[in-house]
Amino acid sequence: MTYMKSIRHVGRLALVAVLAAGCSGVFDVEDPQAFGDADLNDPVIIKNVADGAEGSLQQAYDDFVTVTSLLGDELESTSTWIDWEDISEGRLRGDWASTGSFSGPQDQVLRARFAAQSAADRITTVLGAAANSSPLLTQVKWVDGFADVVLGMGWCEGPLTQGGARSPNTAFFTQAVTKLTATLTLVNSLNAADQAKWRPIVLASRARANLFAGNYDAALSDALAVPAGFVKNAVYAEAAAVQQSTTGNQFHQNRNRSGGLRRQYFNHVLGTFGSAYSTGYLYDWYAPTVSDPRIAVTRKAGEKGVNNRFDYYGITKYSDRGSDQPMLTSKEMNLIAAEVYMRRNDYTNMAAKINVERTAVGLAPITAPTSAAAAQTALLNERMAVLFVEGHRAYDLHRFNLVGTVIGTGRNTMLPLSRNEILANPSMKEGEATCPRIS
Amino acid sequence: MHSTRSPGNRTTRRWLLALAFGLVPALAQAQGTGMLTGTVLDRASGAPINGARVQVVGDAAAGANSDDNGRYFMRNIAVGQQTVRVTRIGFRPEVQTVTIAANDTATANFRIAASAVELQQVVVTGTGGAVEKRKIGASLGTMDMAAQQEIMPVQNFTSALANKVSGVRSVGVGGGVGGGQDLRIRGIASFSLNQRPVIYIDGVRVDSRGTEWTTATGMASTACCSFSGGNSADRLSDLNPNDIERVEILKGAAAATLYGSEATNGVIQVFTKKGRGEGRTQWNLGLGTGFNRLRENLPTKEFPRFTGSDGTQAKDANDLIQNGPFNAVDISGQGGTTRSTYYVSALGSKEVGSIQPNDQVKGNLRANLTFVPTDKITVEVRSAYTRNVINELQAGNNWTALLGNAINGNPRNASALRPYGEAWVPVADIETMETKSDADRWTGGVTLSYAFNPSFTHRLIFGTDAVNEQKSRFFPYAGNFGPAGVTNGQRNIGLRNYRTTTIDYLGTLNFKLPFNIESNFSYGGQGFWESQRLNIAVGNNFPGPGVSTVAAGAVTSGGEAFTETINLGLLAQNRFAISDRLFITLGLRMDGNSAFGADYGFQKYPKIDASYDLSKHEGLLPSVVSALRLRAALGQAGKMPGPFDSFTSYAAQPVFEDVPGIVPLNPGNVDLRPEITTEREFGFEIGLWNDRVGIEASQYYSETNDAIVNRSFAPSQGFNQAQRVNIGALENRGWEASLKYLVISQAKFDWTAGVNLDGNKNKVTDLGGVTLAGNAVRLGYPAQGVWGQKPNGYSVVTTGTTCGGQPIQSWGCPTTTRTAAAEYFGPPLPTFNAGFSNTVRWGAFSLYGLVSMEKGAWFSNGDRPYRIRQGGSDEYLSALGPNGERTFKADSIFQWSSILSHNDKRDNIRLREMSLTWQVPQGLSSFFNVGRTSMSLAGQNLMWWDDCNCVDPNMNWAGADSFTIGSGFLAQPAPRQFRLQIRTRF
Repeated sequence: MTYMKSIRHVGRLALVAVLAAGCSGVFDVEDPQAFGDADLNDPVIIKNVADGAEGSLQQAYDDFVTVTSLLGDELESTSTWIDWEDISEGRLRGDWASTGSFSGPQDQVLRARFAAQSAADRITTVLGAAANSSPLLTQVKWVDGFADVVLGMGWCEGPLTQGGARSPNTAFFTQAVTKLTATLTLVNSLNAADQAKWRPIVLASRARANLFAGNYDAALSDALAVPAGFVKNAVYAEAAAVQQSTTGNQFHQNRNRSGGLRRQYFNHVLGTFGSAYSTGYLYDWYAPTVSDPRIAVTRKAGEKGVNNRFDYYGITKYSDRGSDQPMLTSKEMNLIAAEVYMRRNDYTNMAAKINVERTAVGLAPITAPTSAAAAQTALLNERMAVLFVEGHRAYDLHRFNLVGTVIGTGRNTMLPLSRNEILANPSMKEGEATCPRIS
Repeated sequence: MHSTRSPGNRTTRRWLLALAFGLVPALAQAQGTGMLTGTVLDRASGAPINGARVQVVGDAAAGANSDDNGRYFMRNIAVGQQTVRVTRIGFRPEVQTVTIAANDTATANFRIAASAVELQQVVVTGTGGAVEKRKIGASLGTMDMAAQQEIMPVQNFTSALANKVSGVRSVGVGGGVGGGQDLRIRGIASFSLNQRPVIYIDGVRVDSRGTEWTTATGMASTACCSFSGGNSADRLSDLNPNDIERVEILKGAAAATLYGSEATNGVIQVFTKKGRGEGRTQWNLGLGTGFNRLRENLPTKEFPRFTGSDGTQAKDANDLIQNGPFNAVDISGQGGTTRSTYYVSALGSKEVGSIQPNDQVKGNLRANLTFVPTDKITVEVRSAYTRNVINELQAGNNWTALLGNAINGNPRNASALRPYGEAWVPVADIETMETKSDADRWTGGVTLSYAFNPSFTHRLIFGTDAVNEQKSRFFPYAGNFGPAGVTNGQRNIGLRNYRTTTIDYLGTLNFKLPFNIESNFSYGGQGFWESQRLNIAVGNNFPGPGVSTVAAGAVTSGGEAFTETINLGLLAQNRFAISDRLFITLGLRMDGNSAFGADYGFQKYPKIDASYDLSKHEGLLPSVVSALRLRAALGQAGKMPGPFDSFTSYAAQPVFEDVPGIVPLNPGNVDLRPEITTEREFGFEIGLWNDRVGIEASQYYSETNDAIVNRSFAPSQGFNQAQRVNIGALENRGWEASLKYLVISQAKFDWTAGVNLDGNKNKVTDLGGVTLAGNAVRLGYPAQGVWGQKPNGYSVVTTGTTCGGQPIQSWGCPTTTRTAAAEYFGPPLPTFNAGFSNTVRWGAFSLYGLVSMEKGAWFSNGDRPYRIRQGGSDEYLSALGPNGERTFKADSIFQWSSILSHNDKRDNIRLREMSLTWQVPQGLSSFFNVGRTSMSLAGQNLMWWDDCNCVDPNMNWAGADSFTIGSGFLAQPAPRQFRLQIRTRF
């Protein structure tokens, strides 16, 4: 019995020790590499939350450009990844979005939109009445709106809201117009310097959204209000993996050579390529002997893509992983204006806008088209040259229903909804998809 | 009169003082005592048995090991009648009663019989104190590592486990020396957490990481790049296998309950050697040499048929295979007195891989000291230091994988720079890289045992394992490393600082109850504190050749990650022994853990087991049955979440080149708790014909509930990481059987045969209503099952212009079509494993062989279509015409591979181990003034037969402790190993 007493005594002591340890914080550990939720409700930190939201969108933008460029006729997969080859061939797998490491560009954009929306709530909570005149709120509201524009251009459907039901891509442009209009109201409350910074960004975004939403007059108005020389880039850097650009990493001979100029344009390339790398150019659509400096490719004789199958022409524009990616430019605004003029059958003004871009790089101006078909061709050729591998071409082919004509039939014309979204979204079910359209 | 047998306070104080000054041996005085000597011989052959433990029952201080001649000697034995017990793994214990007279020497000679049944073997892991195996109801595997090393010397202790204990899988995954080993027990018990059993060495929890750490989240993403590549050093390769006495393996939750929140995957405890008792120091010297050589079955034998555009004839990657030399020397000494013993050892080895550059240089030092200052107190102090430097092979899913480039190229693209038609980085450039893992490690601990009396004992273990590991990778300035993201050179340095500290107290109290019932009560507590700090620095773009530091790079970056886990647990257990034949054990462990959610408290793990030794019933069993034990066990164990998985967190992330940003990271879960595995197990052991045949069999069913499911929020709902929630369940059903047959046991000839068999089926049974993206975890199928699109049609298409991306030929395009979605192929792990071993001794020669067999596993054989899509592979090239022209068959293969990945079976039969050992005749060894001497010629992984369309069906680049095991992509096969080992004692 003495032993039993001893046991009970020791047992009690041990139990007390462990329970006391639990209560006194022995099990408390800290994660020094991340913030807790409450930590962010700080006027000093809140700026970084806003930058984080915009940064998320920028970091998604290169992946958006990558997959849409492969889907369209600008690039072809020269990789050995079946995922990429499927996109490049327009044969997207039923479970494509769940496989491979290239499945998540839409996820990234959706998460960036969420980050912007939650940042907006946090900014409003932390700054109170001052939020409306803070550039931080404008910044995240713009991210929220522009993310919708990107979503509408890349994927045939998606959720308009957090956890929302499927909506067709065109609904995203309408929603973006609403959001960006509200953002412009916020811009008016900013100080002069911040207004000068944010107004063209929001206007350029809304111009694109209005164009794709069919609000042509509004698109023209917005586009014309953007000053010449305006550029809004997604900024990348070599230093950190999260900031490196996919376009620079995959589409240039300095890196992976996983995607290069599509083969159907090899015979458009002007240039002489020897054993060292040199730059060539696709010829001007209107002058087959004249190089168009906006469509530059880099090549070395005999070099193939990383798949060892096709000749490789790298995209000179993105020579490294730190190469920035244009998101919005005044050049695009000229082309938006040109398109609106085209849709008004005002081919003279359309040509004038196009010629602004052509003459700026030393190409001969074009004459005004004489037919709707010619005008459309001129517009799309110019958009391909000016916005080469900037994420526009695939959607241009889709919205003008040209995928079958330009690349081939039996192809997906847009990217399908992320399967990750389908599986986790409480408003969605598998098997409900209605797109993408097949050429 | 002072007596160490009657320690009072004064004595205790004196011993403590003496210990402080390292003078404990001075206390080893005794009066009124006698001595004991004798020999331990094999009953059948009469051969002396080395390493048998001779122990006076009830006196911890009175014990000794037999030497090469089977002799033992002890002094300071209390006078009077004493019971002396002799134990040795593989033999039946024997007991004799001897009378010790003061200042006299008594003799007790033993002839112990080999036994195929080991029910009387004493084990300690997870049992609440030392106990015979026959008294525990759960499955506990043991391995006599010292004996195994005698017959089949290996350099890596995990590879020695392969096919030795049923239910334990140990397969090399990396190929290069020092690389990882896929070590797991009884299938898959978690969807996403570490799969490796927890490892203890002499009661101290140790680092057992086997996968790459430089890719850790929070570190690599904030630096420019991960180290992806290299071969992933396995920290278990730090151990010196010659230091290991034996290994105990708790196979499942029912056996491992007392290890609580880290034991779902099982527990492996390594026991290192101790000093000998009385007698002169015995030195043991081992000299090893040999080489590694990969099997020359790389699928590039057709390459030399082709030439590149510059006229370079393509090279066969089999040309890269070399003999990688191996040399090692180890020495150890065992000695001491009755009250203080020591074991010291040193090892130095260098092993070179068959594909180079790849080598491992390792040095080990160990000192194990045991003091017995009084009859009641034993102090064991252990200290081990390891330096392990590995020049890692560039392998794995990696742009600079050496063989990956050499065998995945296109021979038509061969050039002077790329003679193998390398797709990404030329082999010659890869060979200029340097990838090094350099680890310093100290593992030490103290075990204090105090026997208040033989029935009331205490044991306290305190120990630490400290690993300082540096990994570096260097790309020289010159080289075509573009695909790897490197221009003008790069230097990466990663530092890993790992600590785990263990404290473990166990008390046992034995007492008798009425009705011939004995009670063994154990109680205690166990805790560990584990921390890991990772740092990485990267320098990119050197100004020129000749510099190799991070700071010399034009673009530098760094990253850091830190984790910390604290676990404390209480345990209590009572074993009731009824008439020494029925044993019933009840136990409970209760854990608190820093990784549990803030709102979650303590976790309880109960267990119950029963063992019934029928052989203790006189006359019950027929004479042919010499032993029969039935057993059953039911118990729980847990698996704690990741250190910070429960925290809601936002990540600091740079944006816009140099601007700080913060983004949603982990949604967290305040209710996060450990995964709970409940296992029930039934089994029996039977000995036949006087234990010449031993059969052991188990059937188990384990169900893991509260399995952590990575439930993603919809991307539109934010957070990059999935939320960890305890909503899943999975089950493992399996069986294990082993047979050991002492076929012939004669003085000059004996033959022992053994069979180990096991089967396991795994299934995901609940995902809490969640459908996970990907195919790794799908309801109703095995975790990490192998899925892929399957062909579903075939026709010859004559329209179009291309065929698999190549211009269409006159015969059209042989077109295979595929299913829209991935379909199930099979499980990732074998559903059946078998190992057949034979040891034949004829006079001075012993021949040993082990053949293994695996069946049922599938893997994604990504290399196969990859090579074909590149325009390489013997499979494709041999289908081309005599002049390399395309054929219908070649087009068919090419088009298939352009749309489908290939999934193949891992089924194989392998000649895993073989050795021939010669015991040098005593006359000859005496001539050289040395003792027992042996020479072994041994080989591992010698040959295999498969149907996998791959180089080696065991290839798995992501294995080790990783969840991902279904892919063999860009992995490298393990080499064949040939060794000559000379071992002598003096």
